[in-house]
Amino acid sequence: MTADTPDRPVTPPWYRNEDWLAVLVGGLILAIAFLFVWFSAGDISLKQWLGKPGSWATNPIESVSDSMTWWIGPLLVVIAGVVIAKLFQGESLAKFIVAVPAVFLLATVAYVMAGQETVKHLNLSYALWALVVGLVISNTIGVPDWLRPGVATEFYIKTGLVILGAEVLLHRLLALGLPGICVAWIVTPVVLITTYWFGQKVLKIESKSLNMVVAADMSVCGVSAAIATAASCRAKKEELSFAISISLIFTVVMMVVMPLLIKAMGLSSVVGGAWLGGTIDSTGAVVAAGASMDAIAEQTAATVKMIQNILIGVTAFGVAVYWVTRVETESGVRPDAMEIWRRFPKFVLGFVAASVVFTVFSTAAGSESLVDTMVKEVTKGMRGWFFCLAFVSIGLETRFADLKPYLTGGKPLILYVCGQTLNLVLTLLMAYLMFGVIFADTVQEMLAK
Amino acid sequence: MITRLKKTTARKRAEFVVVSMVLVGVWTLVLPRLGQIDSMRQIIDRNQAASIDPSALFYSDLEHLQYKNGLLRRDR
Repeated sequence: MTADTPDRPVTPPWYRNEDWLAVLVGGLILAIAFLFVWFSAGDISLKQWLGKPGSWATNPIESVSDSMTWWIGPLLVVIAGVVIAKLFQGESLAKFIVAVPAVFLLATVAYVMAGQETVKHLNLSYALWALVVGLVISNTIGVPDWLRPGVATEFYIKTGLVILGAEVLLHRLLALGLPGICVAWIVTPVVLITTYWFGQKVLKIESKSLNMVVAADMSVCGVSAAIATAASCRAKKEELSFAISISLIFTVVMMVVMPLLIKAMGLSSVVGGAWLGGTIDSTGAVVAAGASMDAIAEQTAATVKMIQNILIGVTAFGVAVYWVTRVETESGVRPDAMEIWRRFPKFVLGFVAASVVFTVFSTAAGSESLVDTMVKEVTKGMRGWFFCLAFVSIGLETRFADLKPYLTGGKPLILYVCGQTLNLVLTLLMAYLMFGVIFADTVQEMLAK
Repeated sequence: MITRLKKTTARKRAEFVVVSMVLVGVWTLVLPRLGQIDSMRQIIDRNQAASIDPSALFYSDLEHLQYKNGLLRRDR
């Protein structure tokens, strides 16, 4: 059975569609960054012009005083991106000239807050503080009208995700060989699907998108997976905020407790590292926890987490397809191909295309270091700014009352705890079998290289 | 009506100032002291000695690790 077509809404031309504009802007940033690194052969460093506030211990001024030019590049790129998008959409540019730098300033405040060393080493990342900065304004003085044009959550998130695509190098999915595949490719999807099923069938969570974002955040790789999945299933901004807040709180606990537990259980560094990499949500926390054991645990944990990081490409695409074909349909009515295409979040195609293109570049002889340099010098910084702007925007659009439904009843929290428990058990079993028994020698050889 | 509106605006501004001051106080006084507690200091010193950025969002944020021979390895 297919959907009737007469009532289908008129689709705006591609150049007014925010998804395609995010693909255009993100693609332009990637193309310019790659060409720059290629022609300069990586000899010119842009970090002085494309930076972010650094770390500080007691005086916040330290975080912005290292270089006085770090903000120029990101601000110009963000303004250029918004100007391009708004020109295509036929909007007046005047109102963005003040609003975008003002939101950028708020994102800078969030980065300074995240740079305080206690906060940083507890892995409480900028996403959380960007939300706090926005929430403080929206829930006290309110968002002034002149600032509203700079609040562009969807555009910032989608552009950031397209840029992130260049870091999702697919051939690295095969890192660690079969044991890595078993821990990251088998356990992760099983936990993701089971947690989603559990939320729907057992806990009966009303919002499917909240259910999916919490499941992906917990099973894949924390904040970045939550952002990608939330955009793919069009989750509400409060749902994304809630999912990353739970994840960051549990990450702090797991980062401290799990290495102690691994020692108490007498697990080897390789098995313990694989367990850490497969379960702790945040990449930075995984490495910090692994390093608190030893170098082998750190490298194994970081590599397993890297494989999970790359899985967000597959996850975002899979969730987008599942959502448009199964969730957003009326019961019993299967949409036709045109309807699926109309609903499909097009920025996901930009994200996947960036991933494929840069995987091909990266695997070409001698180009891997070029792609790595491009990411380190330019694109990861810009991806961070776009995400930070997105979280400030979410905070600016959210009232505390909007978050109340997620804090009462506790179902999403139960979902996270049950899903993470399953994740801990299955990952430990698989890590022990793959890294401690079946492929123990192969992994040791690889580590010794 | 106008008086009530002015009061509401003044109250909102006062709330903003109070919340901002609390945040500034926590970030400049409380957190630096928390960072000096032994257990927290150990974590900070260990991470700094190993050049680890615990706030990394993605593997490409880990500046001290390079992908080589199927593994993220420390620069030697």
